[in-house]
Amino acid sequence: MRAVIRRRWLVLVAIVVISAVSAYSARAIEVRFAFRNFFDYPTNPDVATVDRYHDYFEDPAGFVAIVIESRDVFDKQTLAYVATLTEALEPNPVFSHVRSLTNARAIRADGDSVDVGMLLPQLPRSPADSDKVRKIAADSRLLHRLLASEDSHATMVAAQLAVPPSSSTLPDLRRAIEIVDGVLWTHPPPLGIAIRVTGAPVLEVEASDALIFDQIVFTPIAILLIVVALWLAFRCIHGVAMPVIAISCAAIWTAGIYPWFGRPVDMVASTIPATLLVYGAVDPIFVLRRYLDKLRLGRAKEEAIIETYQELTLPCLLSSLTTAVGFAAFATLDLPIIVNFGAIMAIGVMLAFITTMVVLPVLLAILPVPPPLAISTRIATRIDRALAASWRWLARQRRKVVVTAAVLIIGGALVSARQTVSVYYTRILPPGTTEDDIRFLERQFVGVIRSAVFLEGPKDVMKQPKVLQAIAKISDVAASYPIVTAVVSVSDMVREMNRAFMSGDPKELRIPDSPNLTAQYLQMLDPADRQRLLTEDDARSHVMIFSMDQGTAAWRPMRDAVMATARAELAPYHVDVHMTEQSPAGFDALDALVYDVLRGFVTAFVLVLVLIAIVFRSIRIALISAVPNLVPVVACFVLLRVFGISLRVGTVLFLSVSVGGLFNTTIQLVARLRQQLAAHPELTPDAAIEDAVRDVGPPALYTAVILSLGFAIFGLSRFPDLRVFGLLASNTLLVAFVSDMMLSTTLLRVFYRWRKP
Amino acid sequence: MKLIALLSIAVGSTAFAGDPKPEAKLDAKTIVDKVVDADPFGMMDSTLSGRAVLHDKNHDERILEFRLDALRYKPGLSKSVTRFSAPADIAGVGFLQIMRDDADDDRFLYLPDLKKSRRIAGALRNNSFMGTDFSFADLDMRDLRESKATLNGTEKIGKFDYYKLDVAPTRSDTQYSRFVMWVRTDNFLVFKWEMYDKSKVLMKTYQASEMKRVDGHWYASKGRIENHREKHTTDMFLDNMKATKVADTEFTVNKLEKL
Repeated sequence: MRAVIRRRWLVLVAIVVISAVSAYSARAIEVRFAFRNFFDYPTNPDVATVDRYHDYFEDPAGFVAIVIESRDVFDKQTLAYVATLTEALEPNPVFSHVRSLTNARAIRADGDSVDVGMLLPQLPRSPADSDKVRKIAADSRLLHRLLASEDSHATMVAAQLAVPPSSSTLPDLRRAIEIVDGVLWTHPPPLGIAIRVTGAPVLEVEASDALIFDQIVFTPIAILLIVVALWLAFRCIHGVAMPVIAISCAAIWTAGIYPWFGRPVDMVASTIPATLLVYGAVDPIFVLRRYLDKLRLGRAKEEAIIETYQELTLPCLLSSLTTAVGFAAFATLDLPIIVNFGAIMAIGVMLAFITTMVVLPVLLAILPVPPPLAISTRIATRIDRALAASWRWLARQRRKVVVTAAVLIIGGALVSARQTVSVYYTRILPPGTTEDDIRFLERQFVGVIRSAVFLEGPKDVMKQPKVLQAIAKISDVAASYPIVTAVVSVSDMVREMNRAFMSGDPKELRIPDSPNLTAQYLQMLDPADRQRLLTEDDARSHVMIFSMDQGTAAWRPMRDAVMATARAELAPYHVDVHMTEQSPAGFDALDALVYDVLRGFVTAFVLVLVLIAIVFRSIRIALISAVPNLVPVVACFVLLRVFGISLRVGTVLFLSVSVGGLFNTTIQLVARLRQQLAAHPELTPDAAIEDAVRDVGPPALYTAVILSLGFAIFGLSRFPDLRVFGLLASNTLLVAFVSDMMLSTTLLRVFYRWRKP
Repeated sequence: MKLIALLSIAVGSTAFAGDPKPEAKLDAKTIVDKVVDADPFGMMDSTLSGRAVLHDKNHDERILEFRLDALRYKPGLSKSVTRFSAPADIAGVGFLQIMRDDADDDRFLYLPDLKKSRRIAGALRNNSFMGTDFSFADLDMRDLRESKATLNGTEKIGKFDYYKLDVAPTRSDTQYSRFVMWVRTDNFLVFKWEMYDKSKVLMKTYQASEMKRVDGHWYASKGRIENHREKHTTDMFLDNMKATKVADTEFTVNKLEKL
């Protein structure tokens, strides 16, 4: 420390240079919400299946959908407009296909004839023509709810991106949306027709914009909160400016490192800046408080700095290390989204420790001594008096406190064990037009959740009647679930073809028993239609299952039943079955993410306890530390259970950020207690704890308030899950302070190995 | 262009010696009429056997084998029967087409397992010919017959000279907006044919790789058509070609169901 203070100007120049380089490097950070980020990582076997599946069948996530609403979408005016939009979009190379009612094919009987051509060879000339087309669309599983709503009030023009969103950049997606907007500008809807533009690219762009908006709002608010809290705590520019500069340096340095990880700022990573800023404020507050105490005791500036750091380097290192280890535990998991978060936060916390150890003393050494008001703040005096009084009361209620804590933890654990994991695909998105449009697609069309049963077998197997009948059975099982809006498979094509060749007899909507006939039906299909459902060698096919986004708890039973049926029905034909597509892969990964966060929390919690046991050389202290820090977590789980909120990414994410903060006060309390006992062995246990509470309590309260308010700002997020995360993290850290002041002190008093007088 | 040159060598390799000399100063309309009249796929006054090799975007393939009998019963109009022999499960499937100039063409499909034929309705001419990348309209060239054409000079590719034509189909039910064609000046067979959809996007490209003259009739005996949008291709091989008049009585529904 003396060396840092002696070379303060040189150190300052180094800090400025490192900060400038970091700021430059941070320019490469991309903010992007991409659903694929949740599941795309090398060790995830689902990714290879999804990619292989997309090699054979198209990536359905990549279309911009123009929803056209009118009194009757089968009337001539609406269909003419649909045709205009379709023809205007088709030439654009950004889109590989444009699908609409005006270029769809349909298989149907026409009297004694069979028609396998366009649904609309020409626009309807009369209401009777419109009704005929409406009936064909309603009767076909290949069209029903896919291109026209059940009530005929809405239809869709789907412009499929030539490059799927997973391989597109955000500007690419914006460009595709702009092209659609441009076409709508050039071809405005006629009177009586309303338009909405939606689809996965729109969703990703709007969610990414919401993330950017969150960053623009959160970071300044987090800084403002810290400034206000620091001002209230220290009432001087020093007290505000120095910690803010130190924290900002840590944040900038971390931002400079971020691009090295090669990942965009996603929903989880969007919590990093605010989290880091508020965590970074913890150590500087303890240092500044102790420095002011030293000045109050009459130490000279340099002496006060050195003494402060002599006393606080170890507890600050330990609390930073435990916080970093807590975050690093998440870096050992599988999912990159959480690994990235854990690694960056661990690095950021340690950088914050470094800035506390380097930037802060340099600033303290360079800047003049703070005014007397700051040195003897009345607020600190009042707080430590109140905390001391509360401890004296608690000391008399030790038994009750211990029993209450035990009941809380056991009861809470029992309640928490009954929680269900249920994640959502679209409900994690900000409410607003996009979310409304998605709900509209669920009500009127097939929704946005598409699962696929990918079938791979020997050559020619898919045209066998028994296999087609098995596929039909799989479709029927899926369709029996209320969350399923539509199911499409090659069996539907064959069934509809059979009905058409049997003069439209509804009873003939079935797979014929003749292998030759099924092969002949399939032979008639246009290559474009055929390869959407079947490979040319008839070895691969798929069942597309569209469903509403009602959480994985509702989706999993459907998946399990479908897969059980598929395996049982198709095993005799040596057909491998996989449930795949972005939604299932994402669902599995998001479910895994929830379990990963829970596992990561337990790992981090245990690691921190091990670290505490090593540093304090006491398993007893480690065990004592566990109890007060479990209480706030259990309290949050009880809250979730009481309000019927399922476990999902947003509702368990608080664990990953609070694990580091939970132990700070406990560590500071234990460290101070041991310092006091070492310096004053004559102190009674009650007096020693009271002294530790008086020293640690005020800065611990400031940090708890700052951390709590810092996380509370996520309540302003446009993402519902981030709002829940903010409120839970805020609650956890505030309860943790109360728990430390009540439980840590009581448990130390009861279980600490006190020297006998 | 290198590929075109190589292909043109292949195309030329089976060309007979003593090919007619290019006719001088033909206008675009005349050239198009001669292209239609040349009937490179044997849809008029021919019998032949064919093989279509279908490839999807993942290079999985399927092979169809068929026999075609065709009769020109009026100028520009024909009757044809296509009978499939492979793969085994579609063997016996027959397709009868009778082109009409005053109404929709008559088309009947015979599926042996149903033991009856069905009339195929609607605008089938734009549909795929039995799962290949050729539409019925591509094979019967009716979109060329009713079109406005512009001659954009000639190009020499390899050993041969080609007319370069820009053709705009005028039929209301066509799926194309434009064709760009390279037509051999000596036999009026299409060497390369770019087909643009109504949105003016290149939809399909046909390219001949072998031309054969049998009984004085030139056939595009090998060629590939590629659907760019679907990334799907069909290689078409014609064999056992015979330029002959098949009896009109062969082109009835009864015959279709009896064969």
